[in-house]
This record gives sequence, structure tokens and C-alpha cells, in this order.
Amino acid sequence: MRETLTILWDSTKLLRARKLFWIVVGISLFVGLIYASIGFNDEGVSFGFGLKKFENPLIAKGSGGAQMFYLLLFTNFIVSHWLGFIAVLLALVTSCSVFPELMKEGSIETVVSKPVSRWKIFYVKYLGMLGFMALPLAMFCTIVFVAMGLRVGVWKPEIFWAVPLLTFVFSILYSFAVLIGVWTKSTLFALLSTMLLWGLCFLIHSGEVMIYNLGILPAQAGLKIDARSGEVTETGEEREPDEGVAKVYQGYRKATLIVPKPRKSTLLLEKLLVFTDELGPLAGKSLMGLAMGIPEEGLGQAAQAKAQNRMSVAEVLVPSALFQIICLAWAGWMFSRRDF
Amino acid sequence: MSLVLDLKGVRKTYRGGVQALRGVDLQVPKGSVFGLLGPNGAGKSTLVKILTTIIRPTSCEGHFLGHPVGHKGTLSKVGYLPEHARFPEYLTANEVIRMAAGLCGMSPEITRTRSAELLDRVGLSDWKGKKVGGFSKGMKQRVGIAQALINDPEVIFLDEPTDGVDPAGRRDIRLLLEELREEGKTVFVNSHLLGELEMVCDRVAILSKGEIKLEGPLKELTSKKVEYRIACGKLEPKLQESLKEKGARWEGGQLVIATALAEEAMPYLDELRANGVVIEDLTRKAISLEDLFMETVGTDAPGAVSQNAAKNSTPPALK
Repeated sequence: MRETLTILWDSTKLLRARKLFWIVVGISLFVGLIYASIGFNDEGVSFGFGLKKFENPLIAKGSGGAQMFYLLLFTNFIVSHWLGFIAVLLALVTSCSVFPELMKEGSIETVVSKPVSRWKIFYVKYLGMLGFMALPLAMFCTIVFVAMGLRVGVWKPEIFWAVPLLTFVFSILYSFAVLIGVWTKSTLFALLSTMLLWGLCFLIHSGEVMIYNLGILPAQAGLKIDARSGEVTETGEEREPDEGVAKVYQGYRKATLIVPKPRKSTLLLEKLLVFTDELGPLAGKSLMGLAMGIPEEGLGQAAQAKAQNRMSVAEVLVPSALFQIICLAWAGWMFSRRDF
Repeated sequence: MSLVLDLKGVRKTYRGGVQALRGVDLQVPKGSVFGLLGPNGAGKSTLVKILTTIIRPTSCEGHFLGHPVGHKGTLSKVGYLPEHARFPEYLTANEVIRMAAGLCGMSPEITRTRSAELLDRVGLSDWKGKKVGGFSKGMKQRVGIAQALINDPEVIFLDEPTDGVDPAGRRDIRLLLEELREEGKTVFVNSHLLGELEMVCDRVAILSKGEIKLEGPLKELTSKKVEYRIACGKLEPKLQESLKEKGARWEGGQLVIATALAEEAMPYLDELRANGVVIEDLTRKAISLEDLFMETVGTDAPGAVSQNAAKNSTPPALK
């Protein structure tokens, strides 16, 4: 136990010593404060704690619109862009060098020559590094939780699901960065490879979304799209998607079943954060969809709901978890067997 | 004689076929300062790293502190300062030692007391709260020695402990090694500074090309080659010839008699005195560790020239 605590203690010291960690904390606080600075009054909305005001009676204080605007801003922008991308990227950049540096000549000998198993050193160090993601995230979620409560009267502890979920997303990518870092002892190579993997996963995710949105969703939403003119007509009834398109889609899903899904794992937070009580019929709708006037009622809404649930939580999380287990087992094996 | 280390047939072949160790047999008694010598690439560090589980041997028989080599638990009785040791720059000297103690599973109470003692012992008490990132190389070596001793080890491996340390610091380390020996610890020292090792080692092993070429008590090894040197001015050719016939040689203006026994040198003195030669100086000279090393390793060292070539030629000019 003492050994485990020592490795974790070293991780916190390392964390505190890194300027980049404090920059990430600073940016997290900044983004959190920007979100908290959005307020509502009788005329409309204000930004920067009342510094800049915009008149808009639709989102005035106490209106359903204000609540919807504030909550959807979090689920649609902050979760998918800040938490799901920038925060993960910053944490990766900060922590990517930890294993290659640990394995440098002169450093590693003093650690592995102690009566602690290498597996323990490896896994405890890895877990400690997840703190790079979890700590700023927890701080950020606390700010958002308080801001939501004070600004629109919504006290939603489910917001804190972001901490384990986004840490899980980070851990998928970090496990790969660690594997490459242990294998090559190169921070740069580990970081670039991880970026490449992330990009590849995103492309695969985007491909799936594109095939679904073009081939499956319109049929379920009772829409007919003319491929030549691009004209969309409402048929008013749900129909089976084209057999060929359905086959392509199912084939794609099967082929990419084992691929880790960081993006889809991030978007699970949107599922966990449905503000049904607060937003009523607006719950689960996208801010972009509302702004663009995309029909999200009746058949359209049902199709959207189907689309959101087209992949089970297990289908999203299990391949990602398996990928991570394989990466960590492989990296741990290399670390434990390596001659330093 | 109680042995801390009893090795047989240690072999290590790295990927690519490089044979670092080619069957090393070694026995080391408890409570000695053991010098591990050899040219670069001889396998000294590899041997130490095998004993500290940093490297896995290709084959290895024998025991280290009563356990098979590679047994992790044994390392709780072992301290190690690696060559070119690097410590996390964000930790203070005290924290580096605390971390080593924590990895050995020591309680915080014992760690606090021992850490203060050791920092005092290596002369870093006033620096204990300073980050090692700002330390000189010599100071880092001192921290390294302190962390190697935190668990009160029975066996301590010090790889180039005086690297980057000033003369006063070297003396301190030498005294520390002597103290450790008095405490009954066994200390392995890898160093290229043969003069320093000669002052402190009880036993030495000379490795070359992955094999132990010579091993034993230092005094025994160096006393195998003892000679008496007599400084007596210029001798008449006839007398010189007569002494040469009896086994003496003329070297650097001195008469050299290769023997460890004083009585065997007496007839030469008698003959000199009988011929009215004035004896200016008489010295008993044992072979130095450096001489022993060079004689053992010879041209094995990378970049070394043969001894004869070295004697007969002038060194190449620096470019």
C-alpha cells in the first residue's frame, strides 16, 4: 500500500510541477467562468457578468427559452467541443511525456530496482496520470453545476457524469499513447500516433453518422430526398430504408464494431444529461437543429430519438474498454519485461 | 565465510546478438567493499543491473542474499545508485529520499528520521528543501547515495559514485564507504578511478569482454608482483652484467629485483656494497591496481593500444 501511495504522491507532485497542467486548469476555469458569466434579465441575455447585454424577449429571465438556451449551450457546445475535444487534447499533450521520461536512462533504474513489481509501478502511474484529466474536469463541472443552479434554477448533479465519462474517453487515447511511449520511448511519436488514432476514430464515427443520416434517417423520419434536385418532401409515414443502403450501413457497423469510439463515448453524456423535467418537449433536441428549423416533431422527433439510440451503450463502451485493456496489457507487458 | 553473492554462469545476450556477459562466476563475502572494474562495455553495469532486476539475464544460476537472482523481495535489502542517476527535478532532496523509502515500503516515521540522518551524512542538510533540478552533478550524486541507503540495505551498489564529485566530496564518499564496511555492509563499487578504488576496496574483480579475468582480495593480487628497487648511481658494466645474470634488471637508472622476499634481495645489496657502490635509496614496490588492470585487460579496452606499442611510441598528436 505504501508503494502505491508513493507512486500516486509522485504523480500529484509531477502534476503540480507542470506548467501545462496549470494552463489547463486556468483554461478550464476560464471556460467555466465564461459559462457562468452568462446571465438573464427582463430584456434578454447578458455576457461577461452583465458587461454586454442583448435584448431578446425569447430568452428573458424566467422564460423557458432562457433555461433551454443555457442548458442546450452546455450539452450541445461545451460537452461536444470543449470537454470532448479541447480538454482531452490538452490533457493528452500534458501527460504524453510521462512514460517516455520515466523510462529515460538514470531515472528508471532507481524506480525498478526497488522491491515493487513493475506491473504495479506501471498501472499506478497510469492511474495517477488520469488525474490530469479528472481534476480540471471536476473543477469545471463544479463551476457549471453551480452556474446552472444559480442562473436558471436547475440543480443537476448528473453533470458530474462528465468526470468519469470524459476521463474514460481520455483513458482510451492515453492508453494508446502509453503503449507507443513505452514501445518507442518517444514523446513526440506517442503524441502524433495518438492524434492519428483519434483522427481515424473520428473519421470512422463521421462515416457512420453520414451513412445513417443520408440513408437511414430520412426514411425513418418520413422524408423523401430527391438525389438530383436535393428536394426534400414529407411522405408522412415511416418507411423501410433502401435495402442496399441498409446493407452498407450494417456492414459498416460490423466492420467498425471493434474500433474504439472516443467521440461516441463523449456524446453519451448528452444521453445521460436529458433535461426532461426542465425542458419538457424541447429536451434532447439539438440547438443547431432548432436554429435551422429542422423538423423535430412527430415522426421527425421519433426518428431523432431512434438515431440517438441506434447504438447501445455497450456497443459504444465495450470496444473502447477492450481496446484500452489490450493497450494497457501490452504496454504493461513490455514495461515489465524490458531491459533498461 | 558468509557470502552475499554466489553466482554461476551469468550470461546476457542482448537483442542483435551482443554478448554482454559470457558466463560470469562470482562469490562475494559479506562486509567487504568490492570493486568491479573493467573497460567500457566490459559488462560491469549489466552485471549490477541483473542483480537489481533492471535487466533479465539470459541464464543465471546462484543466489543473491539467499534468494535466486531476480527475486523482487530481496531488493528491500539492497541500495542502488545508477550511473548518470537522474531524479525528478520537481522533487526536493528530501522528497527524492522519501520516494525511495516509500517504494521500499518504509513507514513515514522511520523515513523521516533516517532521511534527516542520511542528508546530514552526505552533507546536504541545508539543502534538503531545495529542488534537485537546481543541484550540481556532485550534489545529485550525494542525493543518489542517500536514497540508496534509505532502507538500511545489506548490499549497496554504487555505479561511478564519484562521477562529477569534487576532491573533497570524493574523500567524503571514500570515508562513507569505509564506515559502511565497518557497519557490516557489502558495497559494490563500479568505477574507472582505479586510484580511489585501491584506497578503499578489499576485493576486486576485473571484467573484460563479458568475462571475469581476475578476481580476489586486492592485497593478494597486488602483492603477487612485488619488486625491490635500488637507486645506486651508475654501475660499472662488468658489475651490471654480473647482477643481470643473477636475475636483476636495470630500469630507469635503478636496479630492479623481482621478489616479494627481502632476504632474496640481500645478496644483491651485499654484492653492491662489496664493490663499494653507494646505495642512495631502497624501495619495496607492489604493483598498483592500475598496473594490474592494464596487465589484465591489455588491449581489450576500446581504443587501447598494446602495452609494447604504448611504451615504444610517442602518443599521437592532438588534432
